[in-house]
Amino acid sequence: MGAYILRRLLTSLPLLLGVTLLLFCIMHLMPGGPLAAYTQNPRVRPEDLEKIKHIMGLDQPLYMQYLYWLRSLLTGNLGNSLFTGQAVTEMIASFLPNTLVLMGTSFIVSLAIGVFLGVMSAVKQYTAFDFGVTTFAFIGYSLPVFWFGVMLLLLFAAQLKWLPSGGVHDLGETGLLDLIEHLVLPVTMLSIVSVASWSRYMRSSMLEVIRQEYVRTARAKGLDEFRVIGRHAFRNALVPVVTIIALALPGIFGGAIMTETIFAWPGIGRLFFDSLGRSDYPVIMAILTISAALVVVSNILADIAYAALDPRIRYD
Amino acid sequence: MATATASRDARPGATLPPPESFGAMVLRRFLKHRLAVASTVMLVVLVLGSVIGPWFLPAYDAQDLSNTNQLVPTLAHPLGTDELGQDVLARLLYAGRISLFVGLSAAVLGVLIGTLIGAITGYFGKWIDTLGMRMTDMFLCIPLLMLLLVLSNFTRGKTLVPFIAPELQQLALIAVIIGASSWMGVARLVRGEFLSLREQEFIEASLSVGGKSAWIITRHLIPNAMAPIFVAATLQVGEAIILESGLSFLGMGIQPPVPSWGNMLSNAQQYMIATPWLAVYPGIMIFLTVVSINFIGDGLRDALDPKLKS
Repeated sequence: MGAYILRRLLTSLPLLLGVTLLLFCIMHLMPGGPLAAYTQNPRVRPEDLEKIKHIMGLDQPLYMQYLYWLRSLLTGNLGNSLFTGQAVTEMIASFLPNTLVLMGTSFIVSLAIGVFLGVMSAVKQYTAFDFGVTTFAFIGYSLPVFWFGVMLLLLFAAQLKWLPSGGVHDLGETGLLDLIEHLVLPVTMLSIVSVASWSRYMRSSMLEVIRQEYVRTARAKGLDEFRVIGRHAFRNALVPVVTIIALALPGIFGGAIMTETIFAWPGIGRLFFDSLGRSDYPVIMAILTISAALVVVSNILADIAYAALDPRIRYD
Repeated sequence: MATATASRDARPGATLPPPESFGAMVLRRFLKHRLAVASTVMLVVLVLGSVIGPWFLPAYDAQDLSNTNQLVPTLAHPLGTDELGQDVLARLLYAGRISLFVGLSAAVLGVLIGTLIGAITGYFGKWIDTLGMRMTDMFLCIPLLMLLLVLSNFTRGKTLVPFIAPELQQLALIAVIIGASSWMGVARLVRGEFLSLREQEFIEASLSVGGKSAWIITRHLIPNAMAPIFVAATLQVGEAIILESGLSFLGMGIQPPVPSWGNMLSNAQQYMIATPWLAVYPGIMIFLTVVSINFIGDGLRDALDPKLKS
């Protein structure tokens, strides 16, 4: 197992390297370029522009620029923001906790509700409950999430005024209760799709397991239904779902852009979006790289979890 | 669906027709899927409404400022007007044209790229396969929305081709961006199909009589992999519509005054207290369109699957 993890990590390094190269090329082939912020400024003279170009290393060939970028990445330096001049690592460190709070809460909520709905609708297959969950899942699949977010905002914040419309805290507040109040709407928005999708996977996985012989054996032994479902069926049905869930992690991260924009949540998604507007290349590049790394790590996690949970699977 | 199967049968050199033609069988099985049939009707209504609807509705007159306060729905403006006095129903339908056009072209483009890459990697294998699949992996590592935002942000408002109206160019650009970012799923799908198909005897037979690679790919492999590609393409249209409206909602897609369901929603967001209903409509349009497309895709999957003989 240890050797397998090590091998996976090692083989994913070239992939990640390829992704950074791809991102680097996309960023540099785009019209505008990292100097867009300066070229639009009438007070920056052409000769200044040349100087800035030289300082930033933009007069070097593209592959040299990439190697420089890569070298500083390996030393933990992601450059400085073109907009604030702050170190990118510092900026990300100050925005990341908010995103983690949002993502983490929404992950736990989605997991709990999604798995519960999936199990229950499998156990009560073809009942009104199952039909309801299925309908909800189909709605969730086709729902434009950003619109759902706006509707939540419209109903609960603008019209009913039950919940705050945005931000992490009210002014001067730092309490947990206040944070939770601010979390309700963004977490609902961020969770709706994962709940819909995970409940579907959980349902079909559960339906498959319930038909297995060991479940019949457990029943035959005279175990009560709760034990049969909870201990024997559920734990086995969870195995394939864990993979889906691990693979969905980056999606939640990506979904944070919409959520954080709608609910004015000062997190990474918001930082990414704002940096795009300012053509702040080092910040954009850093967030893209981190996201790509997150995808790769999630893929490995999914495989490891699969191997760890199912003794029939062996990686040698 | 009917056109695709018809062109299939009209292909020169097609085999003798079976007792029930493939098209008739697919149609019969599709009609059994009630939700898919209802969705087809819904989609036809939406498409017809978007294409011909705006002709029957009051046009926006930039000179007429008398409407600007008349935001509530009235008989003349059944869904009300927006802050500029433009009829919301007309704009919703006009936006429908745009969203459907962009969604359809983005999906077609994405499926074409995906099929091409999947076909080449799946057919030739070896290092070409490794190269193509690693490239696919790389693209899959970048969260889709982020990639789309980066691409559209840096090309937004740029005139790329002379002599074509900028409004048209931005539509094409968004479609290209979405298409170029969402081919990976189809590429993997087609590669998988090709890997299993190319081992079969009819390919060997074609090779033995001197069939060239291009011939085998276009005449034997792609037609045989058409069913899953077609289902994926259908679902891709819905996906592309959601992506386009999401981009437009964030201000990175279709730019006003050209309406799109996404930018209509972000516009309505500013008037959420006074005219909350304006924010409701665009989402319902997107939802209805995407839900019908998804059900049609579902119905097609059942109808086209040769393993489900009924």
